[in-house]
Amino acid sequence: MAYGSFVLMRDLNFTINDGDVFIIMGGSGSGKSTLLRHLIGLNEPAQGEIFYRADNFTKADPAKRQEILRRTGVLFQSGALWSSMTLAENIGLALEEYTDLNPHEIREIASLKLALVGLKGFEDYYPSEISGGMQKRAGLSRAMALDPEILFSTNLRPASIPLAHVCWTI
Amino acid sequence: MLDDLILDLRDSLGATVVVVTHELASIFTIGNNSVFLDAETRTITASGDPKELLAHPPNPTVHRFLTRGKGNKYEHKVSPTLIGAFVVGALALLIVAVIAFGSGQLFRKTQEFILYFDGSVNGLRIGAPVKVKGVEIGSVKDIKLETELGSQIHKIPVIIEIDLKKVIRRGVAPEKAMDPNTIREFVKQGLHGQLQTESLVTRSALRGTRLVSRNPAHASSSRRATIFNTRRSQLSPPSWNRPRRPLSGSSRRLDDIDLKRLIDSLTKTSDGVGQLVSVNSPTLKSILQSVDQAMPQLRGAISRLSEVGSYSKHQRHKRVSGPPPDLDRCAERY
Repeated sequence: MAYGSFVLMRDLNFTINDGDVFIIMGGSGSGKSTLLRHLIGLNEPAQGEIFYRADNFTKADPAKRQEILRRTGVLFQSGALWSSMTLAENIGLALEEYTDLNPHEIREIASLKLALVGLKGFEDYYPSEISGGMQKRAGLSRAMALDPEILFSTNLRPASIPLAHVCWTI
Repeated sequence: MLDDLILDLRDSLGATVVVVTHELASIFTIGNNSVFLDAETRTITASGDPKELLAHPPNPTVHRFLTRGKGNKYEHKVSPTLIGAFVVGALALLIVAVIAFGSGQLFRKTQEFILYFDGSVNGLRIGAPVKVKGVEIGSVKDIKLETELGSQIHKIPVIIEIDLKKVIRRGVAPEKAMDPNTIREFVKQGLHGQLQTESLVTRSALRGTRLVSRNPAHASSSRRATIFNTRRSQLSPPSWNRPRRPLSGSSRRLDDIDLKRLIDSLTKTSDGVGQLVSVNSPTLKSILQSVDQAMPQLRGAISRLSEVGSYSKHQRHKRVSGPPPDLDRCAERY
């Protein structure tokens, strides 16, 4: 991995097995998040190749890459939800893009995914109306919307995940 | 909770999870495989199950990372005894500082009084000494200004603090030597506050003096004040609306003068002088021309008058009756 001529990490050889909970760890600034960006195609390796099973992800054309990424889900640190959409709409976005489901079915699946992370009943809430921990769980729900084979996640444990919250309204 | 969710989703959906984190709790709770990125060597220095790496760290860096915050041998542990000793030492230093810099001020027994001044207390500062016959018995604690709505008269309450240890009375406890009843008795006998200059170059001192006589010649009324104990319910302050006698005569005389008329008259006079001496004034020009033309005739008349005078002097003894012939000629000419 490199930024221009600056080599951040070299000789990174490792294998992730099916069903693993694989931890990329290290001190601050060691390049953990950069390695994740390489794995999901946001950065390109200066040298070397990344394989998903037998598929060469690094040398794959855009269509092939899209097909590979279709099997993955990404949970970002802050949840990365669209603030102008409700939680159900956030989850339904990927389903609308990659499936032929009708809006009613998409709504049903979104409710199911939210229920899996303990957010049943919050379908019509906006991200700003829920806590940070709940946003992260909603992000996890969205990452699992397409039933991915591989789930990528950064910094799982937020500062606190409240069991209840108070919503101030004006 | 999110860790448990990850494990549940992994088990129910059969997904593979890749997690980027440095949180030890998450690493040991959910991780079964890992890589450790070393920023110094810029490569992977350890891989495998995090629990195995903790049990058998391949290098000190990995051990430090996986055991940080647990007082391992690579971390310096701060001794609780050392912290306790530091706190005790700091408290001891604080007590010494209070005693040294406070000079016993914290343990001093004091009594507060209020002095109401009618006039200016210019020069008086907080902390100025309060003296009785040259003996410093306290200091000025506060100076305020009291006003009353609709009144032009202001009062200046000066709060003084008397050190009770400085005042002793035979057979009386120190705290009772300056009790309100005693002070009330002293005030009846003439005790009052007086503002005096302590030095030309230093500061004013408030001196409480026991006067035998209330003769105003001894002290200016505006620089005197009556003493009151701070418990105001026991002694009421002086009346607000008492007239100020030294100014009343002068103000009455000022009222008698019609200042408006005086100013109007001065303005008219000034305007007249201005018009008269104006450079473009035609009246002034004509006057100056007339004076210029009359000057030669005036000089001639003066010289003839002098001739007439000398004639009269020489012919006085010849005069019989009637005017002299030359004089008649002069009279006809002029």
